[in-house]
Amino acid sequence: MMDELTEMLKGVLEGCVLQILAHQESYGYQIVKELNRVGFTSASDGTVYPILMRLEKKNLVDVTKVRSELGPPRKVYALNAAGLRALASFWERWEFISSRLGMIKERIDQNDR
Amino acid sequence: MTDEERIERAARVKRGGWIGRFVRQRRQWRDHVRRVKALPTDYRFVLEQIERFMWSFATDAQMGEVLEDILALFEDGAASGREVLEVTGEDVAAFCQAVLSEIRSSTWTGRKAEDLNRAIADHARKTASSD
Repeated sequence: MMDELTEMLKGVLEGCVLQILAHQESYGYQIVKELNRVGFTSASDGTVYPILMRLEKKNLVDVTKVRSELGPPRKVYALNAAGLRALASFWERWEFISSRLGMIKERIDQNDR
Repeated sequence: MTDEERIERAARVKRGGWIGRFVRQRRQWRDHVRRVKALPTDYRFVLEQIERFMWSFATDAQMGEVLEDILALFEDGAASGREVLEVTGEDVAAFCQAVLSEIRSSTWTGRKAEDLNRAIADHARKTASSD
């Protein structure tokens, strides 16, 4: 199931990351841990980093380099005003998709009866 | 090199221009190599594989910035005691592809895709104006 879940998650992971950042500014690995915690166990830096690249390119986040005790300086990402708008738009799209999926499922279930 | 020449060169590096850029890039590159060598063996192996793979798609210097970020990701992973494949995920090629798709306009495949759409847009415009 895990591989199929990863595939499905691809389109919505950006929304998940936006939501996490809306709660609190964060860095790559912290976001990964948060995703793992809610059950997306296949999420890794490898899946999250490309999304952070995209958010940075689209100017939805403000990036600061913060020194860490171990290792190199970390890029810390904070959602900006455009990021908050993108998050609202994500949830709208999500509502649309999930309501349409519900409609399709209901219609086909009825035909079976 | 005399002291005057050295001072003059340092000033040129500071001012920018192509010599400054070259010297700075060479310094950054040396720094990069040093950091890669300091990684644990597994991390170093995977990073070198990723670099070789990614450079073959690169059309400009943006790839360098991205590889710099991945290096930092790896240093952070190694410092916190994780395995390299925990950081990248088991499918390293998929990770590379995901990164490449975010910098499409700096890759050959991205350029080719742009060329294709441009050719079609040009054609559409020409046929529209000849109607």
